[in-house]
Amino acid sequence: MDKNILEVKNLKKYFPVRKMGKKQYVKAVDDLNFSIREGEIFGVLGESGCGKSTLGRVINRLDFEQSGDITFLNNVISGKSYKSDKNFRKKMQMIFQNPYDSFDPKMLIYKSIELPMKINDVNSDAGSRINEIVETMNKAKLTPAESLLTRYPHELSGGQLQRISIIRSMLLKPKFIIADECVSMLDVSVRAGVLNLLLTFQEELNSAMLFITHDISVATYICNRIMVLYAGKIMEIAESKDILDNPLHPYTRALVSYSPIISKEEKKRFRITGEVVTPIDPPPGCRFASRCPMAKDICKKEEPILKEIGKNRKAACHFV
Amino acid sequence: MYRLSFLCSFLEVKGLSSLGRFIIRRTLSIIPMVLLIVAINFFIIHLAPGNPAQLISGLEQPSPEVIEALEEQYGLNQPLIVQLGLYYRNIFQGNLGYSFIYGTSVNGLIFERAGATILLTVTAAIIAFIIGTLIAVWVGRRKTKVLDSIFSVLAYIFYAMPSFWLALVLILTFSSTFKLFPTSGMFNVRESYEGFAKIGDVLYHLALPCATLALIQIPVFFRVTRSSIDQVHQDEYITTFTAIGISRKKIFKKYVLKNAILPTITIFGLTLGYAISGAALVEIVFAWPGMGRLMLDAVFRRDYNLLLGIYFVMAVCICLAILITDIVYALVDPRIRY
Amino acid sequence: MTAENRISLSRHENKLTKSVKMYLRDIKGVIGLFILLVFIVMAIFAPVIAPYSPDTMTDDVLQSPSLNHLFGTDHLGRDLFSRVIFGTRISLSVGFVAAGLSAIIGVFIGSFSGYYGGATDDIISKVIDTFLMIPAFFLILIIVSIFGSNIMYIMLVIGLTTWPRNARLMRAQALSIKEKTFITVARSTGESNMRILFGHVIPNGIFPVIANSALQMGGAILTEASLSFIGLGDPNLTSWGKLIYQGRPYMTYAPWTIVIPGIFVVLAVLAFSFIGDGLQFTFNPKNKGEK
Ligand SMILES: Nc1ncnc2c1ncn2[C@@H]1O[C@H](COP(=O)(O)OP(=O)(O)OP(=O)(O)O)[C@@H](O)[C@H]1O
Ligand SMILES: [Mg+2]
Repeated sequence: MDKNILEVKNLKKYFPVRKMGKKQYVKAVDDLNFSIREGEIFGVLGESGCGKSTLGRVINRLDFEQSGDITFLNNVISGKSYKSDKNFRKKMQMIFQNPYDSFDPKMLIYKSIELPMKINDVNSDAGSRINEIVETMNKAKLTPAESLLTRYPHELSGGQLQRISIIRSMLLKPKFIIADECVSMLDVSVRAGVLNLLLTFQEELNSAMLFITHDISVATYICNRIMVLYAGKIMEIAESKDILDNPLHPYTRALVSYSPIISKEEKKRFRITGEVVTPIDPPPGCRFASRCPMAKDICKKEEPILKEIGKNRKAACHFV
Repeated sequence: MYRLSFLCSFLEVKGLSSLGRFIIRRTLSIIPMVLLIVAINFFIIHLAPGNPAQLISGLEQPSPEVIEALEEQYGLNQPLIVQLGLYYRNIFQGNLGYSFIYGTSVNGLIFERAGATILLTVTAAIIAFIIGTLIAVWVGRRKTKVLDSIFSVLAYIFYAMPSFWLALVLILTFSSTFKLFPTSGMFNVRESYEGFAKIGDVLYHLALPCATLALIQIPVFFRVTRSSIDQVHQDEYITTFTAIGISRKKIFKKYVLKNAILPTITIFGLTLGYAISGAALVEIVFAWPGMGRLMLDAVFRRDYNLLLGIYFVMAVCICLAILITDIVYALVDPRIRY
Repeated sequence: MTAENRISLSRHENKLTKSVKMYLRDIKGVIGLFILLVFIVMAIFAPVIAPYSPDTMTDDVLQSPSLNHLFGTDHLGRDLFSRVIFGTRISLSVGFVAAGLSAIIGVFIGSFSGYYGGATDDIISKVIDTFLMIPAFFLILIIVSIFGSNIMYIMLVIGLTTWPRNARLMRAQALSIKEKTFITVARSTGESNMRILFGHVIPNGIFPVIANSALQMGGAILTEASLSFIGLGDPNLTSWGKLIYQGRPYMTYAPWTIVIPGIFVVLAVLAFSFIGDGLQFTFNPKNKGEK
């Protein structure tokens, strides 16, 4: 349980944007440090635009970082010059937010599932590939599998599609899963089922998971540990139950107090105002200072460092 | 593109209006196109089999003096890139070269013939514009499907016609059968008219070639106007006007027409731009002494310098027409974003 | 596996039938297809359909149309009907080959340009814009007059000068398709860029090019006819345009020698523009299901 599968050091991802002819940067991911243990479910929590997806994409090598190191299974996978070995894709898989858009509309479902297996040499025999797919579909209660497999994506529901995209990834038997808000576009009624399917696979494969969400109740329900992001920066990292029972960072406290199913007395205490800021060339100081009810002068001048507070717990605030 | 936008932000500092910036930006964006066209010309000559000097001269056996003159003007003994540079220099000095076959400069030849082409194409474009738009408006006001279908099919058919063939058919009908109009030329060579009689004579000769071109262009104007009327009809504010009870006739006159005519302006500009190429085959059939006719002669006498000169002039005309159309459009339509 | 294949095949058919039904709703498209089919039959079975050899000269010079010679005869006494039938072969081949070449080049360049983006894309778009602006006919004319008017050259040159429209259509498609999640999924499951391009981007974006190709087939036939009319057609082959060229000196006494081949050109171009518009109608997402 204590070996790290993924280590991220000083990871930065800036997007250049042009504003009135001047070049500026969206600091979508700014100097992140964290590690994920084998078999662990690690939550990334934050509001829209805080850089969650960007983080997932960079780790999955779909985007390239400005600077920083990513170590995955003891291999450094960061750096532009890095050419991933053939098995990298098999070991790390990502589930995306939009199931309707995750399938090639011109391909039959089974082709979409089979192609990744074929490319990654998961099962060299075509016949047994199909068998494995059908079996897994049945296990996921996607029946009748044959009929579903020979449809086009637009003939399936969002819930079905998202289950199938989970299956597509899991058939590669990844050691590490990135799930980017994988239920946020689905109807509430099917969310639990999809999440359960994901968790079943994760348990079965004993893989670690980076679980990206903006929903604190889901995060605390599923994850072992949670990292709270705000405008590209880490606010707090802690065990789920610590986040829930005893949030330290003012932003975490605000998130907890907003959650409908959690804590009643916190609710009244922590209200924040304003919109989430886009980190375009942000001013010095704490990113959260503009909305923080506890903000003092120092918060606008000096950026708090992410300090160790107790066991397995870190927070970035001058007042904790 | 980046460099252009840099330039624009520079101009902004200088306090130019946004329209001025738009015009300058569009004008600048033409430059690479012209450069590319010239480069295409250049490479065609150099990819062609045989000796470029001979090719440019168009002569079977050019005299050593001619070859020497050409080699000096185009630097034919120097590296290709230097040659390209020289080629650019010649062109931007406005020198399209010398036609050894006609024994005069290409500039002069083109200039001499431009008038006839302009007369033919501008007249045809105006007629096509008026008739095409009128039919579209007339059909667009009526809700009857039949008329609409008839004119749509006619538009398809005339659009599919080769211009030279339509020209021949018109000659067969109006010259050979009914003897109404002359078959070729711009003047009656046997008479030497003066004054109004001369103008009348030219118009008389103009009738058939002009009708041919107009008939082929009418469908374009018809379709564009027709579909933009439809488009505007579907716009929300028109629906609102109908809902608040403004009469249909008034809506059509005041709003639909005004907005629907805008794309037609573009087409009109483009038609003028493409005039030289569009009219070429018709000029050939009617022996109209314009640039198209000149071009055909150039093809058969293998006068490549002349051919490339015409091609260049034609390309520049198109660039200018597009540029002017864009600017006029921007001036007329307040909705356009510069 | 076989059972499985069968199911997938039937699914494909279902989708195809849907598109075909959609296409058949457009009366113009149906007419266009019908004309084209007739022409194709004429081209394939020309030796069977034609009553005479197209090149046999007789003394029946410039005969007007009759039961013996449906379309009359030309100045060398050759049967015009037979010549038109055989001309279909040339004109249609020019249409198919030139537009096909144009589509292939356009799809490759457009999809590369759109998918990879960057500076290459900027330059390619500029080239596309320039080519689109200048009427291809003149370039074709110049090239053919320099390089010679073999039919292969003509088809090649038409293809090589008309690809930019296809490239523009394909590029726009590639630009929008590459933003889709399924492309990201493909990258994340290890598909190579080539595979993504040929497996996802092109199959999903090719329909506008197909519709445009139908229009370009008509365009190529027109271009070839114009070249032939000027006298720059392949000297050894007789296309419709060539027939008009040959008939022109005699047109006052024998109008049929130019009118009839011209009607065939018009019909072919008309058919292709009907088909092109019909295809556009079929694949326009706005028309799905309605009407
Ligand atoms: N390709 C890009 N170019 C420029 N800016 C980008 C790009 N991708 C993301 N950004 C910016 O980076 C920031 C983080 O985006 P990201 O998609 O990671 O947010 P997120 O936390 O996943 O939000 P959501 O919950 O809405 O998915 C945003 O401000 C976004 O505008
Ligand atoms: Mg996201």
